Amino acid sequence: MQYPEVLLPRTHFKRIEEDLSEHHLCRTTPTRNFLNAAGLIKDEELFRNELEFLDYSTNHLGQFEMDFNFLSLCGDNRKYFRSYWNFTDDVICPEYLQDFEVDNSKGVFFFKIGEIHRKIQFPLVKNSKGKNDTFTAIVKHTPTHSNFWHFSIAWIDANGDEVNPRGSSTWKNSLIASIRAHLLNKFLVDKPVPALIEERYFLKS
Amino acid sequence: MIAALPTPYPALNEKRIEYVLADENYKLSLWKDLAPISKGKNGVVNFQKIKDFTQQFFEELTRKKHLLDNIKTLSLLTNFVQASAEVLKYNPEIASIEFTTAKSLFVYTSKGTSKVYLELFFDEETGKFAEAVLNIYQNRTQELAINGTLNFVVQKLDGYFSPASINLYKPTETPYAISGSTTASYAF
Repeated sequence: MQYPEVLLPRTHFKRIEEDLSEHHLCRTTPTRNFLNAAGLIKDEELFRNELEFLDYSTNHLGQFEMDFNFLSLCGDNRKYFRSYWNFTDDVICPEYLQDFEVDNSKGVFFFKIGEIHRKIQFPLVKNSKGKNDTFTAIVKHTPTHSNFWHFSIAWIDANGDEVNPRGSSTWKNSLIASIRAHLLNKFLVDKPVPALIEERYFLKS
Repeated sequence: MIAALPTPYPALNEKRIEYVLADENYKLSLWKDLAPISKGKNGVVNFQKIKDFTQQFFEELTRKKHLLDNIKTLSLLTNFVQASAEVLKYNPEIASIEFTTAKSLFVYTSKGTSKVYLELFFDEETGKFAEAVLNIYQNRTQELAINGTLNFVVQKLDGYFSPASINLYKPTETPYAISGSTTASYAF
């Protein structure tokens, strides 16, 4: 089995910064049974670890096809393949069974980018200095060594700096709870129509 | 509140959780504590909803023992009862509860287009209640995000919802068996 070539970053690619409001992100869960009785994503399916909410990993549904969600990185090079690409290095192609495998037991849910990017603010959260602050959600293009179509949901403060609540449990609690609430409010279960990203958005001129 | 608690358990661990879950009197006391304070506008209590909700709580205790190490039992139960009473009195159509990896108790209710996300955090070191964070959404739009004491944040619910008139549920049998008891009905 060959790793999908369309996923690999190329040195003639650039960061995607255009408006993708009508496009969708997809996110995998450890199991297909990821909803609880109330129709919400279970905690253990929404976050893989406590700090993941700061840089929430997703894929853009377009060139990244639905079936690619079931590819699972494995082996000794997993850390390399998951790490962010610097837009200049040539990358290694993952080898089947050595670097990736197929895991059809995973589940998938979706977000509409236009409902996340700069649409959510948390105005009454105290920051590390005890002052009220405003956090805003952003969707940013964060390609990895194995997936150019990787995007992250991150959070910026009023100065445009990415949020880092380490060292302030109160601040962290508020952020976790508000992010959870927002993701649970905006997720979609039904597969949206994939939308390819135009070449001019990602090819260097 | 929680006057009927049999023992002021100091902190949770797997053994203590198993002990709590095996104690039917303990479950009953929790149910009885919750019922009178979950009244709707007309003073009627929806027993079925309370029963379902407390059952979810016990199932979560069973499933997620590993997340609860060090949390003070009394702190957890007191805040569970208060938070539950506050959200159930609005007669939500959906109510769910979950322990999370963030050392929190996450309460979700929805009614019509309104959704309430209430998360109670416990201090990792002391195991005591730390703070509550309330998020309210209406028509998929964020209306409120606020944090503070549980008393403080639940006051904000009144601004969005009115305590509801709710349907009376009459239990036909004892919800939890009491060892050694000769009575089968409860007066609230």
